[in-house]
Amino acid sequence: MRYRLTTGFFAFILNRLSGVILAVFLIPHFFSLYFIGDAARYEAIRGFYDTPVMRFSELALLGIVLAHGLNGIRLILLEAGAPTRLQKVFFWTALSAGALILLISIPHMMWGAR
Amino acid sequence: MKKAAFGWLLSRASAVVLVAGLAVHFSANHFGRPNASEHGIVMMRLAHPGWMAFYAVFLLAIIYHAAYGLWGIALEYLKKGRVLSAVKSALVILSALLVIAGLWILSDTQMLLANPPAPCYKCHSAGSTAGTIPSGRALRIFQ
Repeated sequence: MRYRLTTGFFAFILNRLSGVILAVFLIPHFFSLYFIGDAARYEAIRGFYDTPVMRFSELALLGIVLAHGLNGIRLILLEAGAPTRLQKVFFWTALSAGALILLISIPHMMWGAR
Repeated sequence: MKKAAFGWLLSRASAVVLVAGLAVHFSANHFGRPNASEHGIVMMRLAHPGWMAFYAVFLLAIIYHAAYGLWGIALEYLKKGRVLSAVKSALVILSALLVIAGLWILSDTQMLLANPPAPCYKCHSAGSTAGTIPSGRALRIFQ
């Protein structure tokens, strides 16, 4: 198989990589929530996530979720019969929308009370 | 409908649930209000059966979607044989474990709500997390 760097291929790689990362992320996410029955432990874990490094990781996670989710909407539209000539437009729209949401979220995700 | 087509359709259906669900999940736990992921606030939310139902559906959708996606990648790179069978078994076991863990977490919140250590989470007025609920700021022991 020969790979060509087209928009479609870039979208495909982005979706696949983000998908794998999100699937792996489920394990630590569930592990953190496993202590929800113990308020003190839950809050201690939440404190661990409230460091600059972890906040940045969560921002990155939001970016990955946006990339996968918005690109997924594009895929579903195409599979449902939207004209394939629009696939590049869809891709760049999804990417721009994701980037915009991510940008708006930066202050809250990095420095907000949450 | 063939089995493979049904699996595919379910993965797309779960995708739609997840796109909407993630918007709700993120809004509620990170953006809805200051300290939206604080223990008392999360518990207040989960005291409502609607949120419990939401998370039960969200849980099943995300585990199915993830397992289906990873299985698709495995099918693409691996030939039929022992390794592929092992991957399938691993995915089934891991998915089952995560569903059980997720349901356990949800049931744990309900047990806590049913037997609240003082103060009663349900008795709180929205926004008030004062009292003996530890605040996230006070307990940053990992820093």
